[in-house]
Amino acid sequence: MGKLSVQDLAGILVEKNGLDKEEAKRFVVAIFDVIQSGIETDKLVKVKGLGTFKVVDVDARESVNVNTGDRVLIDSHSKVTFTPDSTMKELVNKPFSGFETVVLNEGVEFEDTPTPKSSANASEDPEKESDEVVEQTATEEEHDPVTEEKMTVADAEETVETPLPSSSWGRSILLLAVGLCVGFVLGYFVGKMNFFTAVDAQQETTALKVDKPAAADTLAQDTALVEGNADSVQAVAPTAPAVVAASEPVAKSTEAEPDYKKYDDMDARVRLGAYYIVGTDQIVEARDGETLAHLSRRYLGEGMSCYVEVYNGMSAKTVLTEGQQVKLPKLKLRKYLKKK
Amino acid sequence: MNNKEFVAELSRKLGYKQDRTQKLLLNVLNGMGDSFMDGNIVQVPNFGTFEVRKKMERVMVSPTTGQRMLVPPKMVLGFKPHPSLKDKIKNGGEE
Repeated sequence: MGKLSVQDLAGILVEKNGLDKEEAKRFVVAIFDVIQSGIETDKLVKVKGLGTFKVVDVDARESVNVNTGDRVLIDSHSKVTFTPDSTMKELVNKPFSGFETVVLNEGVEFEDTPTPKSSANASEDPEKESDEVVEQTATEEEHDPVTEEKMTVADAEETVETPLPSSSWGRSILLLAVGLCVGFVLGYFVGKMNFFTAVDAQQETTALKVDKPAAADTLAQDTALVEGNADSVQAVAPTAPAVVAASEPVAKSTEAEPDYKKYDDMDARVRLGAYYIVGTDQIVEARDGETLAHLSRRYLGEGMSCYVEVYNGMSAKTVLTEGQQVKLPKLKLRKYLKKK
Repeated sequence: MNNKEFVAELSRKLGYKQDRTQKLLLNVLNGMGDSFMDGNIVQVPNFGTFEVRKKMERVMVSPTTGQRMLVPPKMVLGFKPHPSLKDKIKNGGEE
């Protein structure tokens, strides 16, 4: 934190208005001389862009001598007050300009003193978390001065500092957050499992089980099932070749499918989309100046641009030139979305 | 003494034209403003010190709606008169 002097202010005038050093200094000194004489004479001086200086009378009051502890009388006297004007106020408050006063919701409390439950609402616990919740609604920018402030407010409010929220409300929030995270992780695995177990359920009646994730046509498998159901013991032999036949197309199609995984990794839209990319459908030529998104809409329809983007390694916004070649991916509907 | 009178008095004292003093005054005030934005104080000898102070956020009850509101933290400009000025005013008041 530095200090600015009359010299520095004078320097600005030298720089900006071409005054010489003496003149500039005289000017700056004169400003405050005039303010001073104005204060003394008129008791009020208003300077636009700075503020208002006023002389205020104060009544006599009793006080205590800080050293001796004796009671002392402070006489009535006058003092100089300064109130900045709106321009200056805004300028000085720039780092906090995004803040606004907000209504405090029910159940949120600030304890000014560390005494517990000093307010009329005895049922509410003193809450520190509320600072952060309310402040986040108010803030838009400049977290540093705020966090600094939060620290000092928190320090002022609490005699004991704990790294974890000590209030019951804070603790339940933490538990909820942890629970949500665990839920997400579990849900992800459950989702993956369902994909495989749906197919397994169909093959429960057969003796043989297909190991590879079955994405092939179920026709072959269904025939195997029908045969298996007819006579579970005797049909084991006849189903064996049928299942073997079924596993072949499974083997064939799974060759193409592992490839799709790399596209999944590239883009979340593809990973969550309804189709696999199983190869190239055709190579088409772009029109002059059209975007990849436009081309994909033309050939594949709405909502398919993510596949084209990922297959060509280009973004949807890429502007193409006349005759530029674009590979259209061959798309296959994902198994679990089969409408049966 | 309002702003107009202040500028008039200042111009008279220095012998400049009013619009000239206005321009110069503006530059000085801008300079002070920049200093405040940088966190620096402005000290004028025998007059006083202008400094920037931070005000903590606080809870207040709106006088109109009676709702409890949270006033955000802010930076304000403060002025500390120099003792010589203080005395002048103090004694001036007692006369």
